[in-house]
Amino acid sequence: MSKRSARMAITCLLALTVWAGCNDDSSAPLEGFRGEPVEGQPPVPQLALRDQHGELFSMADQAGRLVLIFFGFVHCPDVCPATLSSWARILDELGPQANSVRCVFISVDPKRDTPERLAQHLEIYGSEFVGLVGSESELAPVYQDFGVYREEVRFGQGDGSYVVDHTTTMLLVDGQGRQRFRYEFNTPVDDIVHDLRLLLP
Amino acid sequence: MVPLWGLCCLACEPTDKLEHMPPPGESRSTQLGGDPGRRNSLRQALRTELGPQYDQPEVLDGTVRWDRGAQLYELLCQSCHGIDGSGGGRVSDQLSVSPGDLAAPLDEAFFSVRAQQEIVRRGSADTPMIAWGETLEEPDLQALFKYVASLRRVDRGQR
Repeated sequence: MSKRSARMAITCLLALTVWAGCNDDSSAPLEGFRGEPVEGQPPVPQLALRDQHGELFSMADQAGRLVLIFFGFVHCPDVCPATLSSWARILDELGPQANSVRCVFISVDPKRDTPERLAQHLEIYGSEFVGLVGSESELAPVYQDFGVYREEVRFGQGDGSYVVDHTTTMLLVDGQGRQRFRYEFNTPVDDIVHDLRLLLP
Repeated sequence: MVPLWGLCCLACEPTDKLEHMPPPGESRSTQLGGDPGRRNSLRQALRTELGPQYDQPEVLDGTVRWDRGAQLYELLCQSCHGIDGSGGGRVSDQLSVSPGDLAAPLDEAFFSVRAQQEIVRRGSADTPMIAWGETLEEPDLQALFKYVASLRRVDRGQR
């Protein structure tokens, strides 16, 4: 064995040792992805919205992180609280690796979801969640870019007497800003964690 | 496959990357307000605030429509609290905090009827329970209360 080959072999051995030490689940080999692949892995549409703390949020700033994106609203009676709860479980499952994942909740209810209300609501589930809000005119192109459907459904006469029917699919964006997988509502948390682990460095 | 160039260990990462981690021994799930201590605190706070009214349900307007309440319940409550109000709705097992049993017999219910009504109005801090008073008009709130009251189980043996 030449010196160069020996050096390469030692380097590989060290790398594998580090990998084994860092991967909690190394005994269970990760198989194929479980989400629905996004065809062509197009770049995620850029966002120019403020978060619940008034800070400008940019997808470009998320390079190197995995991003889960979901569209919802504070007064949602079903899908949104379940999804936010699932995010909390996902981050719990990931442990320290959760620091490389961002969960981004984009409002489909610009009339009621103020930054303050969104901040208060997201705090219930995870203080690290990002909530993006904006005016109707700011959000309309975002819905269009992401192919998100949303429609107010009134159930009474009051100003706030409506719910919002909306797309319930979650999107996973990789560290290079590419749309990689979609997850239907009710996708098991384990499946999403599995895919995140496959993509995490 | 994990790319070799991406290999790294969290121990090598700057500590500021750990800022979002929950405190040791506390998962995000336990931060979500579902623990009995918080429920007890909420009940105590409502007892203190409502005083003698804690055990006196709101007197509903006689014109309140049960069927309107049923319609609202199905739209806004049923996914979490279930068709029978017992807390087993279709998304209940996915929630960070188990939905309350709205149909518990009066002598077994954790909250009084009045407290339950206040929680519907204001929500329950640190849980997914929304403040429906922000959204529903007063007649609709009362219709909802009337319908929920009709879900209450009577006998212990029916649980």
